[in-house]
Amino acid sequence: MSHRLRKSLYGGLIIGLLAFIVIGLAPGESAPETDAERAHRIASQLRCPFCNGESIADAQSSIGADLRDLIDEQIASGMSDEEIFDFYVSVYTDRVLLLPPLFGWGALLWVLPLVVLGGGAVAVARRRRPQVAPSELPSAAALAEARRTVAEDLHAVEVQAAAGELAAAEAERLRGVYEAEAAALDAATVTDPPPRERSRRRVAAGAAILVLGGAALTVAVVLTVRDRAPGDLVTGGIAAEGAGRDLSTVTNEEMEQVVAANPEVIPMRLALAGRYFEAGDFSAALGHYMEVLQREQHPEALANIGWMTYLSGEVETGLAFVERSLQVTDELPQSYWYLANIRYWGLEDPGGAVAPLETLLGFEAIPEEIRSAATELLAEVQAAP
Amino acid sequence: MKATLAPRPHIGTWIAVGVGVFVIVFGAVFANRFGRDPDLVASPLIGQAPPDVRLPYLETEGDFGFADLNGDIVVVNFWASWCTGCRVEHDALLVAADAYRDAGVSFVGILHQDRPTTGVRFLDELGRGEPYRYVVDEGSRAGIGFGVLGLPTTFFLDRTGTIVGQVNGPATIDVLTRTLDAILLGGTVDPITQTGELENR
Repeated sequence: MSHRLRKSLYGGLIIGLLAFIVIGLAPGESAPETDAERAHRIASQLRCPFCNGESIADAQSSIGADLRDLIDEQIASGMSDEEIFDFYVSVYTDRVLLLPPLFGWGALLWVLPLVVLGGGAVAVARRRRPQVAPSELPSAAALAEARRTVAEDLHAVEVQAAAGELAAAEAERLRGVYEAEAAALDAATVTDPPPRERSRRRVAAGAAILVLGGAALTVAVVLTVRDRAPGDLVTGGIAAEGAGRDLSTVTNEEMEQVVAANPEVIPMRLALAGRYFEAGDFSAALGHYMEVLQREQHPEALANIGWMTYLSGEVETGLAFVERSLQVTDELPQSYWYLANIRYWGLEDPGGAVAPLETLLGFEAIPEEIRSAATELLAEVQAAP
Repeated sequence: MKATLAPRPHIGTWIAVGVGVFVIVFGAVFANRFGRDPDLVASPLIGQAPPDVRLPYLETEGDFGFADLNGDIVVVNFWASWCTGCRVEHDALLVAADAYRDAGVSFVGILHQDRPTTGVRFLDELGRGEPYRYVVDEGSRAGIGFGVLGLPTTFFLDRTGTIVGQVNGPATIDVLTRTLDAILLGGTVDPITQTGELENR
């Protein structure tokens, strides 16, 4: 792996870890906020404009109480957080925000710590490298030049010694000196670290990337954190209880609107049909299940249509739907439950109910009441003549 | 042997220079802002319409909204009985209300952060303007809507119902006439005039 590649990998790793830490530390919310909690959160992020730097949430003055009442009213009137903050900024300028704004000069306050952190890390990393003075770092060309000079000097000594121009002792001494020098040069090629040639331009580019990357990361993280709805996943993994939009708080009318606007979205339609089905509103459920079937042979739709059809007195048709759902998948427990019941009660075939009930009881994840009802029914059909 | 790399400043030098520049810039910004109350800036409401609120009259039945004064030039004064600056400016407001009565200028006094009973006592003591509308800022909705940061604060609305000027601190007859003349003649108005301290209870 090249030196450069390894360095980029380390850089990426550090930035990734920082991102994880920042996102992980961001306050996730496990339960949907109540209006009172929301009002308190908003009030604590706004500066009471003339209460010595207190937040509106903390302000003891009567204007503080009036501001809190107004926030309650604004929430009750259905304003979003953004609209509420925008209102106070439009009236008191962005000095009313206790958190510095994300753009303009305020952004500097978010980015600066990261830049300092990054710069510090770079400085530390550089310090830890072996420091080699530039003069000790011969280039390959300089090294070759030095070697040639030594070789020439050695040669000259031999020539002069042969010509008798040098005393034997002096020639021996010079030979020793030059040979030592040559050995040192040979060793230098082996032990010297490769010369680091880093141009100023590369240093500047690196710094620019660090700063821009840090800024982009900060903005991205803060925007993510700010826009996150209560209950959203924070670090991935297990969803908090009631995470996302709690479907139980969505009315059937709302779901109808969503389904009407997005006829291709099957899960929402199934959930809505399931609601009607549970509530015994079979005609409403049937319409949605039929819609689903026009797009997809969905086993749940088939099974529930079959069960409703059976309950309406059409035993054979109901059975056919349930059997079709079992052809699509053999992993839907309710299909076996319906099949067993239809065979036993509708067809008066206790023997035919045994196999589906046994399959049903073989599933691990079935509700306790279904398990006990199935066990009971199994005993009943086995005892039947 | 020739040196192949020019000697570079040590990294410590760069850090020292960076810290030095940072301190100087920071110090300059701080020094520049000292001695100036950061609260005292023009309201972002300049150029905007007044808030859409209904305010009950202080001494009569019914309520008031700025839409009632469409087409008038309006002087909106926020005051309270506990505010000493409001005492100081009271005469100037009464004189101006009388002087500009025939020029289509309406005066509205909004009792802010105060009880109606003490407000009425204040007017009993110092006198009422004529014509002058005295209304009560229930729940501080008007004060918040105007971005009021303390008392007394006075706003000027032109004939289109746009906020064109603001006086922080006691209004003087000089400021009132200068501003109203400018609006009447279609001239430019200082968006903000600072005449004194703003008070908060």
